[in-house]
Amino acid sequence: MARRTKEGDPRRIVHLEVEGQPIPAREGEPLTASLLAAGMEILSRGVKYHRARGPFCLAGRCGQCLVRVDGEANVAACQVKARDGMRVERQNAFPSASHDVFRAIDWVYPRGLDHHTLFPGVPVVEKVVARVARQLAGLGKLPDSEHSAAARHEEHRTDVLVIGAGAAGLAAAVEAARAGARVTLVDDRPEPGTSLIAPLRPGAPTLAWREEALRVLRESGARILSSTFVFGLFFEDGLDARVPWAAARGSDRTLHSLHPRAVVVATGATENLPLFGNNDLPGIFGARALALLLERDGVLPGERALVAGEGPEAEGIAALLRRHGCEVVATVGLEPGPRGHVVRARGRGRLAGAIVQLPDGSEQKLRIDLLAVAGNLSGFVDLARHAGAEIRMSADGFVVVADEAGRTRIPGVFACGEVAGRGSPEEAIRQGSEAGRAAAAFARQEAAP
Amino acid sequence: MSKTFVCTCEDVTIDDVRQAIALGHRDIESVKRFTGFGTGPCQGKLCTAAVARILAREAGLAPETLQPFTPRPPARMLSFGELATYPVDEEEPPGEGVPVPVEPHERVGEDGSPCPHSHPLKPMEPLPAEAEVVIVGGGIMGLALAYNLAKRGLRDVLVLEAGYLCSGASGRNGGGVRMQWSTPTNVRLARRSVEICRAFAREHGINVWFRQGGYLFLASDEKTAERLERSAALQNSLGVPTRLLSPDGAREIVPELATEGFVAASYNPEDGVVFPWPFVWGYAKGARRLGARVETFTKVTGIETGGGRVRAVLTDRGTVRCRTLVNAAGAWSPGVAKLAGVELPNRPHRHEICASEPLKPWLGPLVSVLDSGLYFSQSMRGEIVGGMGDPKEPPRFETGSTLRFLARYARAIVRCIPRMADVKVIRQWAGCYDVTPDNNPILGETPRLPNFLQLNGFVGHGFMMAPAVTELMAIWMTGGPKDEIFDRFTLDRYERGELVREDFIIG
Repeated sequence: MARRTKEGDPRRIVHLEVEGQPIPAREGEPLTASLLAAGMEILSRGVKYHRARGPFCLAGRCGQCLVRVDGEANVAACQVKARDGMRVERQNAFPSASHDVFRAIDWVYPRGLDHHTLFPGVPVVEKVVARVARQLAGLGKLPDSEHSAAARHEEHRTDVLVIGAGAAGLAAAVEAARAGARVTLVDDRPEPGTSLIAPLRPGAPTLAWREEALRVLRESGARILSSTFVFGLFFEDGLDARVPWAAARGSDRTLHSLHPRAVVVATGATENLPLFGNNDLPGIFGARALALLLERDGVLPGERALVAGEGPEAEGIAALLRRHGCEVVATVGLEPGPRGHVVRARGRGRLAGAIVQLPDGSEQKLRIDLLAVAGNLSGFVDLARHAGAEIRMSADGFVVVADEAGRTRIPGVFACGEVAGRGSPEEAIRQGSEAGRAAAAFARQEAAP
Repeated sequence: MSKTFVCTCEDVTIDDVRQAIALGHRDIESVKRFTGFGTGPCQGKLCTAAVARILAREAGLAPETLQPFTPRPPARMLSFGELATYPVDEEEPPGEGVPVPVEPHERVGEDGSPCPHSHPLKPMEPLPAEAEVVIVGGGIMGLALAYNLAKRGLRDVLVLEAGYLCSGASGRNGGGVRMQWSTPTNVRLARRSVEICRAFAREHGINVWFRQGGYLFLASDEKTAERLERSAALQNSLGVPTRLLSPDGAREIVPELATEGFVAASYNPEDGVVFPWPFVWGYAKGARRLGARVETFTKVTGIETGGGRVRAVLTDRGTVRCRTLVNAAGAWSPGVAKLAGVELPNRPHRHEICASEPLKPWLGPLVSVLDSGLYFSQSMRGEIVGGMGDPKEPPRFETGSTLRFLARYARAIVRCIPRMADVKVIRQWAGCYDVTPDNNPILGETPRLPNFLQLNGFVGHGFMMAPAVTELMAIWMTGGPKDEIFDRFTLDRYERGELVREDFIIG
């Protein structure tokens, strides 16, 4: 059961209307925090088997917390700020997401349902299946209204555009600004350096480091766009056809065209799904997501946790959970190894346990209500790839190929930090700083007559 | 029993991925299409690396060849209402778009001529030294022809595909199958295709989810309304139940439609939409089952001619002698023909397309505005899939995606369906129409090279014509009667100047 951990929280208490029921929330917190704190663990239902799903990444990148908000379908609850009177409905379930009768599809097809060979060409049955399949398809319903709010478009010109305000992106922005470049920093999180609020690795930059970085940027006149995601890097109609420009969408329904003389891609990595049985149960979180939920939102979504994963982030999340009063029953791996690994999670509608296999082959049953997946990452390489950067597979998933100064194979496109395979904070800051300087120099050259 | 999900957006399990590999889908693009992983709201951000690792481990892919599937803008969903605010200069041509090709094998010449670089997934084993029929192009045309030939007993057929199955226009189209055409030939062919679509799942054991929700054509001006009227009369005379409607009548079929600005509509309830990918796989599987060979990731590099005939096809996996060579390479056809010294008048034209977030069913027919080329329908997965041609698109070989397209399409679809303003785009992509001067295909024998057969130039409707046209072609190639289309739509008609133009082109 989830509980709030912050004493004397100064934020105003407001009420959401969740499927007709009033639910208390702290004003401005992510909607996922409000719903979890109110004991609502199932936020969505799977598209095919209607299995219960809860939030996993809390970074707007997975599809497990999509709900209907004020009549708009498929809104990521983790990206929405709680507001008084906000109407929230869960989708794709009958009669409700808590008790969905279509869940039976999962039991009827324990080995999975192959839509390619489902009654192909069986007369009458085929038609019935097609009709049923169509009715069951899709997630949300068409929006009720014609326009929720007017959208607008803005054009910006800048010397160096930095995409992502984690450790590497902030370092790049600061160094580019120090080198005299006009900097625009675009970040999809609600505040720059969100990933620094709940660090899991030793050596991660502190919040004081972030404040100093933001001070330098403010004094240089840099523009910072938060809660704004870049959705494409394009070449046509740009300032210079050699350097791509960015199309971004702000949370206030503004579409931004950002025309830079150099781009630094610091989009970080995405926590990926681990591959074990029932890996989709509510109560399974990415370690970074969970850390933010604990430290920023003040919500502890369980009492007995299993940490699965390798490396410093596994240790980091275990320590953080303990500090918040959560019992950590074990720390194991995701692949077979000396500490054992998760075979499958257990539970009906929410996580209740896990089966762990030990190195000697024996299996151990654990009773848990929280599972943190640590260090299972892949670089968010899409934007760099739009612009033609080279991608390779590494131990940390897909990463952009970039040198020590973040140079990719495309002139004017730099990549740094986790997206470029520099996972440790020290490496990320070093490469980010170099990339910031190199991007500023490139922009200066581009501006020269 | 527990399930292990690789993709929770589309509920794809690890067993689904293994089954795809077992069925021969051994590259990440094919596994994506067969299982649906990475096509939901997260667009592959949480699952692509895991699938790549499974492919490396279980399909034996070399780690250095592992790449994510081609990223498609937008990198995150945003609404049509927001996209519509992006300013578009209608006087300027669109740019090339993204993603920018990375690998040498991804690049092609201006005319679609093949680049010399082999695909990293090129199979190692050599091709047969000889085949009765070699078909260049493993799209719907080539595969359906191979299937229809094998079904009629001509089994020594080799299909050569440069990429994966569905990598060309056959895997990139909107899946529309309609009988509303403006020439008797196209109406006749489309009727036969609809019959084949209905029976496809039974014949091939794979669902293509053919849904006859109808096609609703809208006209914005009187001239277009007259075209609708003329064509409806022709269609009715051939037994197609097309009805002419007023704008209010159109709204009875799609209540969300804003009718301002439209003067007339036509509707045929028997038109429909299929899911394109299983259509391609179904024909490939059927062809292979009957003994034909389908070879992917294999490039044609030359054509050997002599004595007024094609003698052999040169590939990056060796030379294959053949009795008959068929050019079914779609937008790549002029490049293939050039290898034999033949000039085709076809030119590639990019057409962009996009899919929305998955919604519960609300849209019955495919809706198309005939004047602007806008079209959209709701797929069996709930996505609104649609596109719109760009009059400024120059002829060129280009499959990049542009923001300009999303903005133009967003404005057009929101004008038609105002409630689409708050619907979000999930993915955009592009394919090339294979455009001929009269919008009709190039079929049959090539002047001065009679054993080089053309099966291309379908101007964006090849997918729906393939079932019927390839059946007729196979009948002719196996000694049966020759349909008049193989005399009328030959390459030499351009020299003779006997042209009949099809003007019901959309997209």
